Amino acid sequence: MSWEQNIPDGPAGEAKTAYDARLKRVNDAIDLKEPDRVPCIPFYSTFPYRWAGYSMADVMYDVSKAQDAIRKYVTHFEPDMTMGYSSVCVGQGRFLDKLDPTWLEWAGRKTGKLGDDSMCQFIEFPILEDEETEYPAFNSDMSGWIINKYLPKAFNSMKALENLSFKNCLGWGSLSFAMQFLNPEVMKAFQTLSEAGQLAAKFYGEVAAFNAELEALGFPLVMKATTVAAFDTFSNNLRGTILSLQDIIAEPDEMKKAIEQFYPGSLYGALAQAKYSNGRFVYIPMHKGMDGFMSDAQYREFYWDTLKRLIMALIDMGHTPWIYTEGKYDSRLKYLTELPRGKVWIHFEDVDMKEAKRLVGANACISGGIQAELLRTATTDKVRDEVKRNMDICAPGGGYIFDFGESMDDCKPENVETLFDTVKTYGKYR
Amino acid sequence: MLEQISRTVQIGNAKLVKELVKQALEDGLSPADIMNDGLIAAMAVVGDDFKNNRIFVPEMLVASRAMSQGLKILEPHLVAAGVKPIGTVVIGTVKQDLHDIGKNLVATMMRGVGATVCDLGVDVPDEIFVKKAEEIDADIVAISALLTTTMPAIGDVIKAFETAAVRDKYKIMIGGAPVNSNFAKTVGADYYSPNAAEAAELVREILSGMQVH
Repeated sequence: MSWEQNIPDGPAGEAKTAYDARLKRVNDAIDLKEPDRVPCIPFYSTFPYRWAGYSMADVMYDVSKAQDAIRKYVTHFEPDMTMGYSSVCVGQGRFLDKLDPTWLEWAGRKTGKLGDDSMCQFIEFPILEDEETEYPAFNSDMSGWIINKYLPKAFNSMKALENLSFKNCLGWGSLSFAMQFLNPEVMKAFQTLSEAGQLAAKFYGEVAAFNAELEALGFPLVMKATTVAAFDTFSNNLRGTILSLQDIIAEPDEMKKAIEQFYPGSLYGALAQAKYSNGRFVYIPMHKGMDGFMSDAQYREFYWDTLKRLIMALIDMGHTPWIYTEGKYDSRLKYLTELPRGKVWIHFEDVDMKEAKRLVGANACISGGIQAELLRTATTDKVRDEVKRNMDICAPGGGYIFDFGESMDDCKPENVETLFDTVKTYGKYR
Repeated sequence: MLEQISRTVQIGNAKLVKELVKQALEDGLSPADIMNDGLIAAMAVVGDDFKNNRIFVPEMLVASRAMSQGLKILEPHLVAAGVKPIGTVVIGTVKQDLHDIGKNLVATMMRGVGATVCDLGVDVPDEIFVKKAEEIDADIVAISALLTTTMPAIGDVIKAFETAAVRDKYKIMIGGAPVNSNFAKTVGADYYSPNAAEAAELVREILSGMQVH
């Protein structure tokens, strides 16, 4: 079955007019021009599902419920862009069950720890543990290490790959090489990968069809691809935060080699996704680059170097990176000014937005800097005031998209109504 | 020798710190002096350097690791000499929150300033925080939440201490990405820390204050 079938036609009539107006609004902001009003694209993670009355366990396993929630959300609140339902692992329950990862917990997992209403949670632990032996092994044979070490520890279903070897498979070696696949556990692991592949294709097919439906309703898609900085890929998945930060001092050369090995994947993975999407941005969530985690010199050497290359390569190939900073980022603003004018969207979770507007906003479209926690706890008046305050700082002159610093989860619906209403009225440029 | 231990902790050379602590013990220096004037003195310098942006988390972590390794050698000698640890912290993430990156970083750095840390792990029920703090006679309870959806559970943990009528026995500090000082006031926490290094520094200050008084 092709994942490309059953894709509805693009928007037409009134929906097309609305689609074009929304896209132009966003494009103007990226081009650092003043649109007709501030684009409103709050990043939702679990809010639409909660608001529509579904649990996270429901939407992890039943995409019709996830689709219903997002359809209701976009048609009711009318954001300027949509991210569909595929963020925070929604719709991936069966795929995840099949591979049985050790690094993730999600609502509805039969053996899991989370309640039905929790969003999925990443469990970080070091897989590359012994720096003295495993760094050289990883850096001299990345693929072999991933098959023998990473996969068995990252997925319960892949434990049998621990002893699999491809080193003697050349020529007549293939005879003894093939014997490894008689092991029932190895056979099962490969069968599981094949079945997981079919579930992934089904997931992508359903996402593509639903995204096209959202476009037909008049809502452009935010994301065309997602990728992660090479340092984050390495730190999140192989070494863990504490050890990777220690390695900056204790194992700098080996770690740099390892990070460098993940750089090509961070680029080509994004390009592969982008080929099949109508989305506008390549989303780059950034996890470990925040203030204090590293000095200026360490950030430039271990984090920014590969990240900047990734951003520049994406721009050179005609894509627009959505650089989604997480945590405090005040000391990193100067790095972001190194990017070419009008080519990126930079999001801030926690930063002095006046400085961000002055330094980064002169060169790039910005968003964020206002706490999503307001939506859970504040009165509607407070939400209105804070949204206005944020727009007063960031909106003048254009180059601004409204979003909260964090994603929307547990929110009072009346506060979400207020935020959209305030951005759409107070955020008018003309 | 104590100065050399302190300098070696500051640069994070864990292997050498272990050797130097062994040597200091062999030379007849008192375990309390090695701990206070060698290891803890080093972390006071490191804490000050961090506060003033002269060093960052990587340097803090390697120094903490070196301090912990030295302390491990020293511990049996401290017990034998009747020297008590500078204080005890119970730490964990709230129920339904499985994110422990920040909590682990905080625990590592708290150990680095010489505190004994009892790490309850993740997804900790409210009553377990209370039970463990009572059981080990802790000084500080540190509660972490990463998600906006789980941070209200911090308030539940504090309420559990109130319900058990033991709230006043402990200093309660909280942290995590969505947590801020206003939230700390709302839920009745004593302290909020925006990052791991400041949390460790706070623990050092609280515990040294306790010793003074």
